Amino acid sequence: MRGSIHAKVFALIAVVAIALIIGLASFFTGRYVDATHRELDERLRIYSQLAAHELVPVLEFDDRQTLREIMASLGADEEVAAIAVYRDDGTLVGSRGELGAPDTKRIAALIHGHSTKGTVVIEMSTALVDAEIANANRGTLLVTALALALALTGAWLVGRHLAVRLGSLASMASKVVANATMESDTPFTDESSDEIGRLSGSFNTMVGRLLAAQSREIELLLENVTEGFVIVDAKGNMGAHHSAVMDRWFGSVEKGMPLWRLFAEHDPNAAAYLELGWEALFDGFLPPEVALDQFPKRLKHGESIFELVIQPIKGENGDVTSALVVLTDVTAAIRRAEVDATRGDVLALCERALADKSAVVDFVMEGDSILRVILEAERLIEMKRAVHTLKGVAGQIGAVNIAACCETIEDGMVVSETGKPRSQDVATLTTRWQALTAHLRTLFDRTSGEVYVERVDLDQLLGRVEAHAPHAELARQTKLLRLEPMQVRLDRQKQAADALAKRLGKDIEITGSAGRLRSDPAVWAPFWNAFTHVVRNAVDHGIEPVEKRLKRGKPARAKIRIDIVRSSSCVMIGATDDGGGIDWFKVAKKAVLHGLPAETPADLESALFFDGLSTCDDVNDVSGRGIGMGAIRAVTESMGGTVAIESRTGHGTTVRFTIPVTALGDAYTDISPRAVAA
Amino acid sequence: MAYVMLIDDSATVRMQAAKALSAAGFGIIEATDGLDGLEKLATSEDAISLIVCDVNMPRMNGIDFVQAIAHSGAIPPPVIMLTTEGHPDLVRTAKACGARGWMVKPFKPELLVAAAKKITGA
Repeated sequence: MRGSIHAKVFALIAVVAIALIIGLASFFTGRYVDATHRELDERLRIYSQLAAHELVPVLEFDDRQTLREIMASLGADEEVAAIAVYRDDGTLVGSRGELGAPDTKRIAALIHGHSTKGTVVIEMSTALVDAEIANANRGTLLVTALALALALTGAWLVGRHLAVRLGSLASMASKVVANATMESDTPFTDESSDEIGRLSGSFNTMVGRLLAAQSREIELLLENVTEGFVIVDAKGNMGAHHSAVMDRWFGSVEKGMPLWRLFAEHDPNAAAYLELGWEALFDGFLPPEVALDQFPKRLKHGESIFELVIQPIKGENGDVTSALVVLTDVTAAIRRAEVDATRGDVLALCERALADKSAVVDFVMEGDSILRVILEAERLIEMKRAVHTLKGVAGQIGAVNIAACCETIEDGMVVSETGKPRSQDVATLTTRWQALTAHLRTLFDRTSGEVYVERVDLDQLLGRVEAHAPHAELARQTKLLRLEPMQVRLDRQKQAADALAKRLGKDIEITGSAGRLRSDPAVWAPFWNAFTHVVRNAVDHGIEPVEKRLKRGKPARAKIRIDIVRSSSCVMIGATDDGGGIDWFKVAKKAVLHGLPAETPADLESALFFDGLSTCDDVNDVSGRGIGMGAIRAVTESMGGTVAIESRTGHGTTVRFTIPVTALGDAYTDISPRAVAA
Repeated sequence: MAYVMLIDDSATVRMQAAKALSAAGFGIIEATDGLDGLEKLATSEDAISLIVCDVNMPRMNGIDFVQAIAHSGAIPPPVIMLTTEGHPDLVRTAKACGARGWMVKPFKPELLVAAAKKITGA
């Protein structure tokens, strides 16, 4: 109340009223008192004059009887307190009452006779007058008090009235300032036509316009934004406002609807995780960043895919009370990325084809058969190896997105409880493969009818024909031409190893020769596909980083040699590196971890081939999953061959494949060592 | 030092989690399934502040484990259940049986550390 309009108005009116009322009261009381006194004085004067006149005979003739009558007559007025008549010489002629009493008014009048003089003294009591005046005063006081009370009450009420109206206006204004909203169900109305009424009318109009402008702007924002924005409370229910695009995506989105209901029909799994995740976000057990990471990042609705971002909102006391949910339609972006990915691979393969067309053709054909294994394999381990191999060959030839697809499948298999990949990952691979090869098939004549023949070999055959060489020899030479020079495959392996080494920042010299050996590509394709794992392992794990090599006193430049030689009965493929060798202690440790025997060197060598055993602690996209060795051994054994590993810690590793020479192709059957050209 | 128990039949998962948590200063107790976990919980000398437990394990799975420790008498340490994607029903069951939190596999080790820090107050 202090300092408010109420106090000020009250004070103003009170002061004025008090001044006025008290002034008036004093004024009128004063006048009444004067009048009353004057009346008494007047009466006294008249009495004295009358008495003076009447008393003349009393003094002249000493008429005591008349004196008595006059005194009685005067005395009839109750207010006459005393009368006294004196002769000129001061003698008392007669008196009535007590002279000199208090509270009296006195008057003396001269009595003029013919021969005598005298004085009459009349004293009138002021008691009555005083009593009357006192009464009047009391009355005035009462009235004054009443008037004051009324005035003050009135002042208070008027002040309050004004203060209340102004106060409502003020608090409405500060509410608007604070919240920029006006509760539309209690508009501020002041109907009167005084200044305050006009002010409140204008205020309403101003605020209405302001809010309309603001909300129109917000409406425009929500109407045109392309992302889905909505605020969701702690229970998961959506707020009243959301971007218009959400209605177009999901049908009607209503306030109070739980967020996950938008996805319940088309993506029930994601919807369930949304609900569970929301509970976790708000129950305060896990830190918010952990709870947020558990949410599905992508959700499906019909043909569209949405990305979900959740932004917690803190309330006034610092607790999280709601969250902003942002949905982005990434369907087009994903499709574009797919197209780009495939296009990238197509580009890489085309570049490769300029240098080595047959490599790309082989890749497409072999990839087709590997994919068939992936889709139809009965045993999980076959599928695992096929995926790993496809990843290797795709990486080798530069189809990085196919390789990435395979990586995703492998990751999924690791995490999955059953070891099976997620069907959507396999579907993605299939789709991507078909997209990629569709492009390539239009560029290449994909007949398996091409054979790669070197001019020098053809010339040599022609020479033998023209020299009328024996039929058996000519038959054999011709058969040989149907086989592919192993050097071609070897060169590819070397090239891929080179590229990988550069990618990993390692300086490696890669050499090797296949002599003039030839092999049936159909039979050997699976071998070479799996061989990529051996090469990748050597480059990635076998060769140590430069600092380590130098510390060991080795040259900074590492060496990998891949040689293919044949004896009369076998062909031997050896891959040797001068790296750090196999860490047999680590192998032993991992073997024990997987429950394998680890006593003898033979045990450890076996363990190396066990699927899933890797001496690496980290899996990268090149190797480390422990699948490669098992794959190559399986292929080798299916060709009737064997694998052996020699390794010296600190010095290097050699992997040796011994395969019957008949696996090279039918040109190598029934021949004597002498007649063999290579 | 606060101790965390890791229950998972996959050695790789245990190793990953153990590496991150011990680097952050937590003591680690490993178990290979629910039964092993119960035993280690009962016999452990160190007070275990948090249990991270997989759902699918041989002999005794995560759900049964959580139920078992809920009925063991003493107040058990809080349990974070590790689940794979695509099984929201398992999460619900786990929560109903007493698991306080859950994380989807594969989890980011640094997030597990953050959760452990918050829960154990370390």
